[in-house]
Amino acid sequence: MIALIVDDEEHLRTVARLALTVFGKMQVLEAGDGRTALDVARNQNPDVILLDVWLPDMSGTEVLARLRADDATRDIPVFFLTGFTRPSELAELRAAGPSGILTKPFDPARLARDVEERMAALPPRT
Amino acid sequence: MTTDPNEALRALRQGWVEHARTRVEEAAAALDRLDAAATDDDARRDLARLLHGLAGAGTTYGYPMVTQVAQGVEREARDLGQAPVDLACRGRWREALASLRRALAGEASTDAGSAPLADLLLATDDGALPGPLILRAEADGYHVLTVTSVSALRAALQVRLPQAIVIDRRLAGDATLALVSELRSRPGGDVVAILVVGPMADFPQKVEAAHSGADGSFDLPLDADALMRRLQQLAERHRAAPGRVLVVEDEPYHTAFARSVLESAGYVVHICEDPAAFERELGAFDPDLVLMDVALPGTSGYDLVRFLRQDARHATLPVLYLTGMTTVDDRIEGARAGGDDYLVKPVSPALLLTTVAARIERARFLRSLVERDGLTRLLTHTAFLERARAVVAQKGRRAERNTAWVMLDLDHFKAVNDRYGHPVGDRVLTALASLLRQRLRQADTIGRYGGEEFAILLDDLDESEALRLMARLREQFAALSHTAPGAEPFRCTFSAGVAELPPGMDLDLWRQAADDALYAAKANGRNRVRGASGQEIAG
Repeated sequence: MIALIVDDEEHLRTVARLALTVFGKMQVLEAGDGRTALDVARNQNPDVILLDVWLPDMSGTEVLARLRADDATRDIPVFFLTGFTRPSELAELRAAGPSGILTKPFDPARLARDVEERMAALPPRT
Repeated sequence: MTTDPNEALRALRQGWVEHARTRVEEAAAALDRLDAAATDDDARRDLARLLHGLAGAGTTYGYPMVTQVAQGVEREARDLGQAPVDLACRGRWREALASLRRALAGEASTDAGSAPLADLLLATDDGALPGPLILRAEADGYHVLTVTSVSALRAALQVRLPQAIVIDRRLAGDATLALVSELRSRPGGDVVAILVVGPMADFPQKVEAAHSGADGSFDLPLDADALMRRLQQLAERHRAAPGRVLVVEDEPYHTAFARSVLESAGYVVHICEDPAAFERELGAFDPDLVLMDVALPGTSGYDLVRFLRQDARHATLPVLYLTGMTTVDDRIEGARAGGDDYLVKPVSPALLLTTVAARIERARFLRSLVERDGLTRLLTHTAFLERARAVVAQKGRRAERNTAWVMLDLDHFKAVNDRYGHPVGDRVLTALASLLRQRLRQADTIGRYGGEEFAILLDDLDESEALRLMARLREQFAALSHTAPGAEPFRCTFSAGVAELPPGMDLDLWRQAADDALYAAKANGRNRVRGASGQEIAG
């Protein structure tokens, strides 16, 4: 399984990469901003995208909308990985229509399992 | 290449601490800009953004307090919008940044390789109180600092927020509970365990203490064991994995409601829409609580609950009905079937969440009493074997996942009991249990297998990785000094045998392999760890 991590914090990407590769045996791609994320998603076709909400060039919800608007990327499951954890904030993010929401800070030992469990609960990709 | 995830995490953590310190200073610079111009919106946004980053990473790297404090400021800064940041607010933020600085400075100087030892701050002016408590707490791995006045307590809290605070009621008198509330409301104060000791026999006073935010009240003479057990319990609560809720419901609107409310609060939710699949999904998902609709296609929720209660494994699983049926007869039927509570649709999100949280916490507590050994709070022999059986079953499905079984036995423990007495021996056992709990990961399983014998399942490690980890623990344990009344401090060692689980091996053979390795380690002179394949690391 190939995961794309989108976050402008390099440290966050590194610890998420570690969490997914070591605990989850996934392959990991990284992007530090929205534009790169759209590029990588189009060209490398990851199996899942973990998307930060507060990015330097555009918001995570905008990245999500663009992914959904593009035939090449619309079916990729996208999970927000976010520090916005108040119920009102989560409701707002959910309204943007991600496949799910994972919250920061996360437990490195559990992230891969959480992603796998949520992926397993999604309807199969065609 | 094998990567020890803990080694890698440790290296990252070190790097992050440096990075986080820089971020705190950048935030302080943004705050200076706000001092110059209270409406500098860019400065406010920079500050919020920097703290958002810190909040989102703190707990990941083992700094929950950084997350707590940074999140508080971040939210306040964002909620303000364009409004000017007034003097009082800037003062609060400055204080918060100072406490972040301390948290990041203080902990980085300890052994970066392991979780910092827990701190316990004891406030009392009774000279007789600290002795026994300190002895008992240090055996559990706490570092105890004693202060003898309220002002000294406040000063100590400026330096660093401890994991636990014990306040003697006689020190602050009637102001004790106000003091507790105040500590509770500080940034990061809600993750600290706060206990009150002192004369407080009557029930209303205990209730009042709980209401002020104290996690426990202890009468005099102080039962140090009871107090430490309570601290252990509180630590477990903070470590507990998110609750898993199985929702049995066929109507899309209601499933969407339950999912969104529960997932926002951090629960893992699984929806069972088809009653025919209930048994399988119950087994596969292994929930902490079942939320049961009553009117289901082809059957009733009552029948499913009756079915569930027939299985002894689910005897204590909390079941809540969520239903539109409200007559007394319905309620009687529901209770008779074995449900625990009854929520009527439409239910408010707040009521659903508090009911679910209370039921899960209570069920976990009850289960921990049954599953855990009274002295060490580790899994009992039976509960441990139950986990090991599950690992063996899983290995059939996920052959690439390694697990190592460690059998560990204290060396010459009978001599400790004979020479110093059983209470001292018990303290050695609890010291080892604390060390294991602090140094192993959440995914690992630790049990007290017999008197002085412990068993551990190390998740995702092969034999040689497990061997290296146990060799480190052996060194750390051997370095601990134990005390006994009227005798010189002494040290203890342990021997351990390690065996990984190859595909196709059954539980008995696996246990035997670890046991044989332990036996060989003992025969070769003790104070060493040995793998089933013959590799050995001696002290």
